[in-house]
Amino acid sequence: MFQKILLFFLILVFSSGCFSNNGTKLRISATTWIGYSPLFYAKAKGWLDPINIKLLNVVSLSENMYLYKAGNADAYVGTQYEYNILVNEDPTLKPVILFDRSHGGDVILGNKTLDEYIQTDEVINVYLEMDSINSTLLQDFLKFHKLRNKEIHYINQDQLHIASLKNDTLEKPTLIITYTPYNIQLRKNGFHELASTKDGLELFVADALFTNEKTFHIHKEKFVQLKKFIDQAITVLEEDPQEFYLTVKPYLLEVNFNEFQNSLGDIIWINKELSTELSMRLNEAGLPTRGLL
Amino acid sequence: MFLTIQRFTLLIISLLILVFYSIFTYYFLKQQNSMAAIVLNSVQNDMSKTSYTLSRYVKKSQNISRSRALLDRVAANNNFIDAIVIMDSSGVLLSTDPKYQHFEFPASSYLEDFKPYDRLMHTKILDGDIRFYTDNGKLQTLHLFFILDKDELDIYFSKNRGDFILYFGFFPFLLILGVYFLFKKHVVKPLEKLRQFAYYQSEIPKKFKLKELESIRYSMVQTFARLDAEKKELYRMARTDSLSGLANRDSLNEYLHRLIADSQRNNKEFALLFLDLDHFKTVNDSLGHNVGDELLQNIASIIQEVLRATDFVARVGGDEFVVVVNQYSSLIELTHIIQRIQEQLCRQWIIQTHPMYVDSSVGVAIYPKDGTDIVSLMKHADIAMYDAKKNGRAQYRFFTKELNKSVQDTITLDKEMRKALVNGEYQLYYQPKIDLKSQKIIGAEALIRWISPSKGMIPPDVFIPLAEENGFILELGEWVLQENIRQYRAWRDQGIDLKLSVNISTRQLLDADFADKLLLLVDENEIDPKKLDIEITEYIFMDQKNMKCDVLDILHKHGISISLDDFGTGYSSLSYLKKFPIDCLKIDKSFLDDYHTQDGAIFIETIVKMGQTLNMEVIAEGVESVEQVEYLKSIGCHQYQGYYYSKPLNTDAFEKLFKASL
Repeated sequence: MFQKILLFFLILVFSSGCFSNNGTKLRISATTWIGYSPLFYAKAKGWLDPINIKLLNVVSLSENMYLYKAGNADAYVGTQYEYNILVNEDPTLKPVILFDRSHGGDVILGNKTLDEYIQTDEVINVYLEMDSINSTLLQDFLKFHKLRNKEIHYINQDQLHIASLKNDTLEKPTLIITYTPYNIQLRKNGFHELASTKDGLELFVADALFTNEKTFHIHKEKFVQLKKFIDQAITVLEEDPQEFYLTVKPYLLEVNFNEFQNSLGDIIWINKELSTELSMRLNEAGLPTRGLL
Repeated sequence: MFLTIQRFTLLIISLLILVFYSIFTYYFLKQQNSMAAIVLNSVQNDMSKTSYTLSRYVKKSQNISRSRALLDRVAANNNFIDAIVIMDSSGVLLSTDPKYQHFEFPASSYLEDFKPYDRLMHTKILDGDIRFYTDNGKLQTLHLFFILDKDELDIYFSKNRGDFILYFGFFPFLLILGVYFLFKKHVVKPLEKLRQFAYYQSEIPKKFKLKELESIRYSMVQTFARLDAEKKELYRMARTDSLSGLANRDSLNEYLHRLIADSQRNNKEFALLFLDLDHFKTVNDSLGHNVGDELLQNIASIIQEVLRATDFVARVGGDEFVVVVNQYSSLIELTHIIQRIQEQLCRQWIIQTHPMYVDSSVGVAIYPKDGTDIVSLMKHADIAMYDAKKNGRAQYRFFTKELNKSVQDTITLDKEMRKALVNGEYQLYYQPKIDLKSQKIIGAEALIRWISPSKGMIPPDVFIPLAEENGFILELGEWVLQENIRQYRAWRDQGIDLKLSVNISTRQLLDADFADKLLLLVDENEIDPKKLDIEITEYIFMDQKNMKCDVLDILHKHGISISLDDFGTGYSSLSYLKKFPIDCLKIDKSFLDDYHTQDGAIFIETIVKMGQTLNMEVIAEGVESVEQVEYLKSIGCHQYQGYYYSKPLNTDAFEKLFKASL
């Protein structure tokens, strides 16, 4: 009799344990960056729900990072800058899936010409996300163009807010550190490109999905499946960009197909097998390649 | 109705489980509602804050898209929010998840009367307003919807339910189960062991862990050990004679009850000996009871020493002892046991420096001949004992006069038979064996005769069976062989070179050294073994089915011939004719007596033909008439012996007969 009761309880506990484990969601925090569009494609296609992945969307890279740090996300996307900030706090943090490297996707826009910035004595207003790769880009730009002696006024805003700036309303010399697709709207608003990761900046910027060792082990199967979906989405993008665009359009602000196509030229997908050279480059940029899916 | 401790414990535990799980269920439901209230508050707080924040800086509904970052942040930071949607009358203005771009204005589903958990689980959407003033001071209202993540809520409460079951359901249950098993092991089982020990006292329980139970166990073990010792002592006292240490009358009665039942079942007999010391009263009267008691103790000890383990002895009166002997092969063996007891008692005893002699008289009653119950057996043994006293004491008597006489005669015969060998009262007589063709004496059979100086000739059938029974036949048989060989040599020296036969008993053949002794005798006396024939009866094969044929084979190989005596009277099997080296068949006299009948003739002729076929000599015994001789000759029989030609003769007479026949 007692053995039967014990068996019943064991089955109950075991089944509740299984249910609990299966029900654990993997929450991934992402920002609106053209390189992460395969994630949005997978979500829009409904691929993520069956494998219990919830995609959270925020507009700021730094907020994205802090969402993970606060425990509201299990993994986050970002560049090596966001990775290096948190890896000091959690040494088990690691990139698990690579998306792309920026090849013009990160840009610096302005309302003046480069010479005007060099010659001006006025305070230069800089709009950027302070706790993100934007800072590194700015420092690289200032160093490259010898503008470090200028008086800089930092204005920390999220990219959505920055994207609403209009050239005709700004009188002072202004620099905007942004990335695609936000740069498209800013160009429409009268700003012109001063430098990008394709031209005028030496910085190597790569995007990846990060998580710590423990989370990776708990959700390893989900990560593996996600990697397959990302590869699948990129394949769709390469074969049928129109279909891909229409699917992810709601996630990409108000970008038309041509602008979307152009922005794709600002990144290089690095989801496939890495060359030795690229692997070395990534490691030099502070993004370890060991353990990548 | 009585409850066992185990069932009582189960009842208590069941009650505990019932109460505990009722409390657990109540607490669980309360906790679930509390948690649901917290979740609801959390989402509602987020909605209030969002609504207030947006109200502060939104000036135009067209600019609401600038609040995307805020909404994303709120939605991302609250796991229970799937998406946030802002609508006006024209439709969706902003959504944190594109899948709600075509969200329709929902019907109110907020359920005030429900408990928080039910309310939460039945609510899909929480709604609120964003009130703002445009630049021209006009109040506008937008609708704010927080869409709850039902999957997340289900998972959250399922996990909570699972945790509750695990920590408040399963682990306490395991704990209760563990307590139950511990209680069962250390209380219930020990108590059951104590009960069994108290009831059966078969196995002493091992030490218990609990001090109180161990104390009870220890006390019980001590008490039962003492009671057991006392019981044994009482039992021993009730069945033991306190003076001699032998069994008492009660014990004897018990033993006899069992023995009579056993003997009745197995159809066996046993002897009850009633032993009384002669003139013991004189010892008591003259030297005092203490001396008498000590003498009795010594006598009891001696009787025990003399008896075998299977015998039983009890003291039933002052100087009266009863011995029960249930394993003896013959009355002779029984008398030997009695004599041994009497001889051992009849010695010089020195008790407290007083030398004395004690004789004993024994009366014997045999079950079932002299009685089939204890009373009659005791009474008859007592009568026999008084008869022994009346006839001069220091002797034994059997209860039946005939039996007593028979036993006494047998004992006398046994003594005289042995004495006769020493005194040379035995002689060998020889009966000639006649060849039927030539009518010449071709051999003789040696036959033992006991010529007693006082009783005259005692026939062999009087003493040979007793000699077989008591083993004297070995001694006597050896004498016969020696005497026969001596006689052969004597006759050979006189020119009478005949083959002589001697009868060999079963006991002799079973003697391991028989063949060696006989061959040594033949060798020492330098005689031709072919001149020696041994006669055995087919009863040997019947009695000793497993007898090895080695002895006969050895003798046969050395040239000694073997004759089968009294052929046809026993279990005449062809198998032993094949198995053993038989040279000669001797047809028993009983067949010759019927030779004139058709049936009798068939048997004789069959034996003769069989002998011829098997290449064996055939001798007819007990031939008494010329007709018989003629008949035997006609059927091809080889030899005969019998009174027709000559009765067994002493050596002198035989010599004369032989010489006359030449």
